[in-house]
Amino acid sequence: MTALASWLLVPLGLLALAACDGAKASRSDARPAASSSASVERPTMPAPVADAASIEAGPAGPDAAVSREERERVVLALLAGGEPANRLPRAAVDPGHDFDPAQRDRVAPPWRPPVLKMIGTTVAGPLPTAVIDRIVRQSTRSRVDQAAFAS
Amino acid sequence: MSGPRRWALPVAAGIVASSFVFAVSAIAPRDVDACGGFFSRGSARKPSLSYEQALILYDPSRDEEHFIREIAFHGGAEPFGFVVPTPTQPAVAKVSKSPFEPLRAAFPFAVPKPAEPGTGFGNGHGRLGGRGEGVTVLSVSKVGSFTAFVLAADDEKGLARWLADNGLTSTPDADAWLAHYVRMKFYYVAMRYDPPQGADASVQRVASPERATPLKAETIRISFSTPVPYYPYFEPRRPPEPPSKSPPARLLELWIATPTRVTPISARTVHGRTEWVRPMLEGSTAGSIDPWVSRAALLGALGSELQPLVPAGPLRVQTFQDQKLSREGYGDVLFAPETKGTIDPARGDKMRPLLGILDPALVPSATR
Repeated sequence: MTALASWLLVPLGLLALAACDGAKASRSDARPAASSSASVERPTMPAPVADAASIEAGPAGPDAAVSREERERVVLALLAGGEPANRLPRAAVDPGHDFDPAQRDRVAPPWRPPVLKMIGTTVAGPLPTAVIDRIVRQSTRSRVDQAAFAS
Repeated sequence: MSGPRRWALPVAAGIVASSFVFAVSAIAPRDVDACGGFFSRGSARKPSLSYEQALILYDPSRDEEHFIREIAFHGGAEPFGFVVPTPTQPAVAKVSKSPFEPLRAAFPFAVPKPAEPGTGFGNGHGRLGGRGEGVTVLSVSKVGSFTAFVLAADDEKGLARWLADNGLTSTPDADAWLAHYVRMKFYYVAMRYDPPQGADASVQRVASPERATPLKAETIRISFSTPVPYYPYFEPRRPPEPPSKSPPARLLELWIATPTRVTPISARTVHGRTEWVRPMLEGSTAGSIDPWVSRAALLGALGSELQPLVPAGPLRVQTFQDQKLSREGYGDVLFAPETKGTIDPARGDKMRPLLGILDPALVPSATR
């Protein structure tokens, strides 16, 4: 029985040592960011649990004594959605400005084609007035159209 | 983003913009902007550098995003470029028919009641650089009037050098902007405008490009893998406007189609303090009522070219507008589900590379 127990204790002891090393590695990675590298094995992402207050407060300042894991946990909790993400301050306009529903018309005004009016045509020659009118109308419309788009 | 305004290497837009971004988005010269402007024969509006239009089609089952953005630019004889960052290696393509006018008809932005007030740098030309120090050119393709280089970089200075070697000049602010993405191990779509053959650059230099050349708009699609919908919203810092000149009005209009409704979130840093905000105002949309109806309407609006990109199943189509003149202090935008969900550890690991977008302290401070 004693022999069996010692056989069981040996692997358990090895596991404990490995866990200890893992914890050290995790702690050594706790400080923010700066020197992280893609080649470094990272621990699996912690479950994204964070209270609403920590999300509403925003990310901790760069000098705050907050571990990288904790920062990631809070951001993940934010990205999990729902409240309080849906209540975050809205910033769709500059401070002191109101939202303008007609802003689109100001930055990209609707394009309205010019209106052409034919005012009396006098023809000296054999061609009928209607033919002259049609040719002038077609030619002018095409040129005005091009000019309007090019302007 | 009009006139000399910069396209944060979005379309921006990101594109990009965006910007495809819509988004993105980031080498924008004086005559290009992340902002899109709808322009085509039969369009009801002229293109505008101050108008950024983007569409995001996001499929969570495949972690796939299609970022579609219109780019407005002066199509003259001067070459220029801009860069759109993406979290993973992107594919770039031209969208031959802009979807935005029919999209707007099907899903118009309506101010929710009560209305809640919220509170590229570089240009030039050059040859393909191939592989430079710390920079890998993953693909080169012709996209409309542009040549699109898909780049990966693990060295900030190497990327700046690659851009310089290829005639894409930059500014210190733009370099800092790029460095941010290098540290996050992003990819880049560098778009270079190729002037048409026979264009006389000397003519363009006489007058301002705004006067010499008409505004054009082209739509591009940037597709990439991401565990969270992403909008390239972060822009390089711009030079201050002269006191006598008031900044022009600006508008970002975004449509996003996903199986579940989402909330845009950005980190805003003011005076050293960072907080999370919703940087866009959501309009009321038909998609919030019946996702099958909105899916059918979306398919109808997009046409045959973009229909294959639409995610399967019922869809929510949301519209957002952003009217801020400046995005200084704002980071990129990630979209969280409107209804609280769970993120298992495996998914959390996938999302880890993006978390620095919402907490700048998670972004490594330097690569070397």
